[in-house]
Amino acid sequence: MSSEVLAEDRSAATPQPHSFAIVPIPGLVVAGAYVVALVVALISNTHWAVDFFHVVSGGLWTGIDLFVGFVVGPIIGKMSIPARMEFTTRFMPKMVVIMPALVVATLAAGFQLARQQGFILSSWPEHGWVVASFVVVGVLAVVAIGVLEPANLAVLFELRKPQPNGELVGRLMKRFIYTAGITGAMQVATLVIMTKLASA
Amino acid sequence: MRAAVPTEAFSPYSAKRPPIGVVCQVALASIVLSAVVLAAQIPKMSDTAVPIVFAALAWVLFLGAASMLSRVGPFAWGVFRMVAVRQLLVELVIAGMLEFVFIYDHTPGKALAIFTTLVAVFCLDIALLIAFSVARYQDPA
Repeated sequence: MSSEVLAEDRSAATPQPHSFAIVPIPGLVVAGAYVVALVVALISNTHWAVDFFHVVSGGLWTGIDLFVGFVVGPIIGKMSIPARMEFTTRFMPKMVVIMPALVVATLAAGFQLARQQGFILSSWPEHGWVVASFVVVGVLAVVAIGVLEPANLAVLFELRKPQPNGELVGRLMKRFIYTAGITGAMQVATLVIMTKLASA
Repeated sequence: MRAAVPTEAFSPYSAKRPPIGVVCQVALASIVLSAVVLAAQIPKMSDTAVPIVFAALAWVLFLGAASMLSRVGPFAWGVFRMVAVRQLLVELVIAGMLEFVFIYDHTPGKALAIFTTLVAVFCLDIALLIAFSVARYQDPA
């Protein structure tokens, strides 16, 4: 047997690290362009432009959160470990780019909108609803930044290993299922608060 | 001659770690509480006692987490540093934008000081939390 064949056999037997981008560059460019457009809208201080970013980004944030939490999440939970890992390596890097851009746009435009309309002032009669929205955003921030983002990155780093630990990936992914209820309740609360403020 | 006692191989998956993640999460919740109480009083923001207490609590918790990390045992410090530095860069951009907005909006001095303290502990806390969460499952070698 030649040494080339032996080397080939050895490389076939050795598990190779999985290569995929944890933060996809093309997605980063699109998200960057979206944030630049947001900054332009904020500087112009045009009511329509600021309202557009708040409504579109907020609608997508809420919609994606509810859809992933209550439709995609349970489907992933029923998949086999290899299928789950395959799905995660394609799905999570996109979420790493999409969600922060939507959240930044929603909050920045929302704050400016509240300033434009005077909702932010504690003297405004319906100010309690605005404070309620701060609380909702606070809970969502703790869940997203404190619980889900670390788990998401830990999973992506694990999946890049030659032999990922399926049990660990499954355990970390369960955080998404456990927090889906909290996130869902907060997003429904957001819908109630925002429609209330819009009709005030 | 006595036979050498085989030492158990270290595995990052089964290694017992201090509750650094949970402490960082509670610190994050304190930061958020402090900011919400302060922002709810715009434009005056005169009642600063509660925000100061939560900001101080966040710092205490963050320093506690950092202290636990310094005594963590075998750990993938290379991965920790790589993730922490990148995360810190992201947080610094966010912090810069937030500080610009606070100054641009003429945030009152005392409130600005509290917000700045919160932004600082937020940056460090998140970088520590995320870098620890990733590095804890990596091989120390």
